[in-house]
Amino acid sequence: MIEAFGYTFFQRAILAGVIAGGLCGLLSVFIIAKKMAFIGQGISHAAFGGVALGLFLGIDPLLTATIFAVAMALVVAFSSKRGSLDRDTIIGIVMATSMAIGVLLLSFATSYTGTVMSYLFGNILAVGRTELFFLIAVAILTFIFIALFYKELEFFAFDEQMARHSGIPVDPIQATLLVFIALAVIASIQIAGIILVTALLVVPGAIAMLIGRRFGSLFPISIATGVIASIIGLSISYILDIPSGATIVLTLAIFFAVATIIKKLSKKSR
Amino acid sequence: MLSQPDSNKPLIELRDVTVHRGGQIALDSVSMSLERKTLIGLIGPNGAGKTTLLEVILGEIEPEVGEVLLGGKPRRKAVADGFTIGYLPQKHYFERIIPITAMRAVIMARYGRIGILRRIGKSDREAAMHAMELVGVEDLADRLVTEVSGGQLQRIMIARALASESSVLLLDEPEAGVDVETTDRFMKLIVKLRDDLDLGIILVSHDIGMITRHADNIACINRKLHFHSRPQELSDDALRATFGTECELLIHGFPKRTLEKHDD
Repeated sequence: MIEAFGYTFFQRAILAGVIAGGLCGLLSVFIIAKKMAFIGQGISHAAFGGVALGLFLGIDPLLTATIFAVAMALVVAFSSKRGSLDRDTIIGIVMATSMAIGVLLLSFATSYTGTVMSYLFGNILAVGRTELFFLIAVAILTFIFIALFYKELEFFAFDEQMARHSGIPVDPIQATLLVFIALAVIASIQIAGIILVTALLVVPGAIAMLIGRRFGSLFPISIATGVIASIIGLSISYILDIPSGATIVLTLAIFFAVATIIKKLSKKSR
Repeated sequence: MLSQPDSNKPLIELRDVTVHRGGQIALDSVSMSLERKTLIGLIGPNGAGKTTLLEVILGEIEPEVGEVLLGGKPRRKAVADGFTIGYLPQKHYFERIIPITAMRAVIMARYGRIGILRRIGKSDREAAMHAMELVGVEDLADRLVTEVSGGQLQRIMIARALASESSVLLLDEPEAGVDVETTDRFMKLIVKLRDDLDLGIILVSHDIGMITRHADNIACINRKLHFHSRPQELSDDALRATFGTECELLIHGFPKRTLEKHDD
């Protein structure tokens, strides 16, 4: 195991895993607070249509996936709550449409199978320099956004109605947050894959809500959960030669189970 | 502190405000004004336009006809100049999953006034703590809002409304979900705040008895608004005109009330 750290590809994989785990952990707090788990799912699955279009047109699938994911985020942001359709219904329709486009485009050729599988399930050991730089850039920008608008995001997360009433520009803040979630999804697809990336965006925040006692403490708990699960998951996947994304997600599931038990025990002892 | 610059103008003034909702008239040429140190009780049946009236004052709905003045200025200008309205909604829609302390919930009311990219200052913390002291919840400052009783939460939310240094409070059915004793203590607090801070307060309620006990004026609304300056004289006819049904009023200390009939 130790010798694996000597390989550039593994160093890059661990670095990507740590950054993606931390980035998704950071955003996860807001996803859980605002009950946006399905939005994360919708964005990642909408990205599938983008990947397929990129492969079909012979351009970088990451670029087209980013366009699809950001478009999905903006559709969600601007689909008014006062509209006749529920936000989740709109996500369901757009997500399924994008995936259907992806399936149709891929049906025209069979030579993409391997590449498609790596997008669907992640292939962290194939993370290139471009993907790593993209991930680092998204992580830095997300951190800056949250640091600058921390108090507005806190108010929006806690009490959207009163935040709006107090003059907080809720709609632009929500739209920007959703765009960052879309970018984080795309940047993390290489690590966990389209199907499993949602877990990185949901489980760390859920664990933080279970054990955190202050809003400010949710972030370190959530980020640490994402980072540690990525390191453990990647190491186990390397040792046992099993898929990395699935191993990280299963590690997160075990963390969640342990956190739930700790929470129940601490309630009983009170 | 906790009051805005003195002015002889009414805190809130509605002039011939008309609003339609879902193709139906919700407010029909409504005029009213709220002065300092005044508590107006707003009553009316479900769907009569009580919440719509508050939404117009809060700026969530623009009237199709008429205008809303805050401190004598048009709504938008007044808000741009820093006029704030403390608001206690009928239901608290905050996310109960998030661990937020009472102090943090109260200080949030100042975020809009602090402004984007600016940090919470010492004066903001002091204003929040002072607002909590005014309503007697300073001991709960470090408690999570999800771990306090309904009555305590209500007072924390009043502290939040006061922390924005508003001279106006809008209370939408504060008695909903709390017992009679808590409501009574709460109303005594509201009356004390009105007197101590020169607040103008609009209280929406279904509890006509409570309104007649505590309000300086009563506004009956059923699309049109009728104003009664002496609550103890609110008649059954007046209530019937508003509620459109037989409605008997029971008030301790006011065995019989008389009031001129509404014109319509």
